[in-house]
Amino acid sequence: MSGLSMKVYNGILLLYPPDLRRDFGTDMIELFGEDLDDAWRRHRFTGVFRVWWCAVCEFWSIAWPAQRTSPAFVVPAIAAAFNALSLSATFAGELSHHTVIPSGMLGDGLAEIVCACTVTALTTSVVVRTGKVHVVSLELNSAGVGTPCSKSVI
Amino acid sequence: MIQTSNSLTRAGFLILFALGSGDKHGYALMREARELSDGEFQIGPATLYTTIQRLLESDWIKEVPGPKNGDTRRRHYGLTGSGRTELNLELKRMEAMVKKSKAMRLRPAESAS
Repeated sequence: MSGLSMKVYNGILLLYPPDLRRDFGTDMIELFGEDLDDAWRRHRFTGVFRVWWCAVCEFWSIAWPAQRTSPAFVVPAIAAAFNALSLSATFAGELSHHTVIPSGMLGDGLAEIVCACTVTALTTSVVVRTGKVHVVSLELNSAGVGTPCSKSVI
Repeated sequence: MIQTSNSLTRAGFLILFALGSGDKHGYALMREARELSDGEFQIGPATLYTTIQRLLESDWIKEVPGPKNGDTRRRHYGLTGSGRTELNLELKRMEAMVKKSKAMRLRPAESAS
């Protein structure tokens, strides 16, 4: 059980600020494991629950606020908003016909939301896995023709 | 970022307090901080190391070599001179507040309880 908990905690640690992870990541995992073993020895399941509850509370108070202000979170959030707005009825209808989403069952409006959520989830997962945000934008020249320009943000 | 006296958090105070009695490693600090708060303040690895990081940046604590026979993987921490001063100032501030609260009858005096 401790091994599985450590693996899960190791995964959660990826969402903590990079400087904290770099300087104290190993110490945090070791300390969490020690705390978990001690809690199991003393209080069994109640102790383990307490340790995990503390870890979840810390996630919300430390990792989550840091994620909210980082580009890796903000950009997909903006992308989600953009997707929701830009998927107009025609475009979303067209898109949902090319996806596995049964638009007839869900209705066009719901299909749009599902499409937007899927795109956002994919974007977020890529960001979380690579730790990079790839921002693509269009630069308009004097003739009004757009040239794609991209920029990677860590 | 340099911390000012006003930004000493509860976790920061408990860690400085725990280090007042001698150098300690992370797990010992966490356990002592919990005991000092009678188990009321649940300090976990993230809170502990975020606070340690801030206290190191503020130069209130420093990394020290551990005992010769101890586990070499563990990092030990100790108070610096400015850390000890800050701890004493914080304790004085607390004492003054307790005195004021008694004078204002915000809490009963020791003899009355």
